[in-house]
Amino acid sequence: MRDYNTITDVGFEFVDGLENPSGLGEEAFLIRVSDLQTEGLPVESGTTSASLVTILADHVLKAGKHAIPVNILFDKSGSEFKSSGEELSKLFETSVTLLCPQVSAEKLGGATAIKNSRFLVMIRRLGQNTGFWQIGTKGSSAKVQDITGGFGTGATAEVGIKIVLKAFSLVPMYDYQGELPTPAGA
Amino acid sequence: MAMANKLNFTPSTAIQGKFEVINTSDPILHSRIGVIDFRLISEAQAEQLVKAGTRYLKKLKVKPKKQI
Repeated sequence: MRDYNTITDVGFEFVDGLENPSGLGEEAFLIRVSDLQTEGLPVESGTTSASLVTILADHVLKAGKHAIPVNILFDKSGSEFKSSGEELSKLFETSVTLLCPQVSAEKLGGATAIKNSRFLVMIRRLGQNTGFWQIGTKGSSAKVQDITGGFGTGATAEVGIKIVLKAFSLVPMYDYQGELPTPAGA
Repeated sequence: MAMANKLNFTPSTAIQGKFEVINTSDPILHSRIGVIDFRLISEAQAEQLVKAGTRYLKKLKVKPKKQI
């Protein structure tokens, strides 16, 4: 098991001037665990706090497999983490809510296809152009907790599909700095 | 090792004959230098991408033209 006594720079300092927007950028990706040929992971010998969550190596998908693009609504999507478990036995529980507007045969079929799969969820913050924040790994994947949706009622309903995924992990989420090829988005 | 994936898109004319898209059949790459669309990539971006160590683009050796 990892011993965090080797981490020498633990700190929670505020950096003046650094952008810090809330919410998620409007494109996320799901990578099926079974589609991974090679999984990038943090280095095991790191001695910095950041090294515990930073993934520099690429995730490589099996030939013909693709990350699943999810276009989401900023106002209705988000991600949160919290510590979970008993004192001195803590881990993290991270959830992500993805609200995909529109109901179509493609989306309904997509919901059907993903409901019983294990994922790495790749999300970005507003203004983020490289890397992703990653929820779940092959060893502690994100799983669908709930898929809700429909046409709603009346003129003010939310029409779309909401997907909620959750992962338990030793870390809140990962900072993926590798590359990721994806299909052409919308 | 490079995989010969059949591309489901046509790479930018700016890199044709100079670079080869490898290891993927997808047109978009979320790379270390930003989001790259292989259908629209410029030669300068391709150079930058290769320099950044991408595994998805290979620079081709262009044979010098024979002098007559």
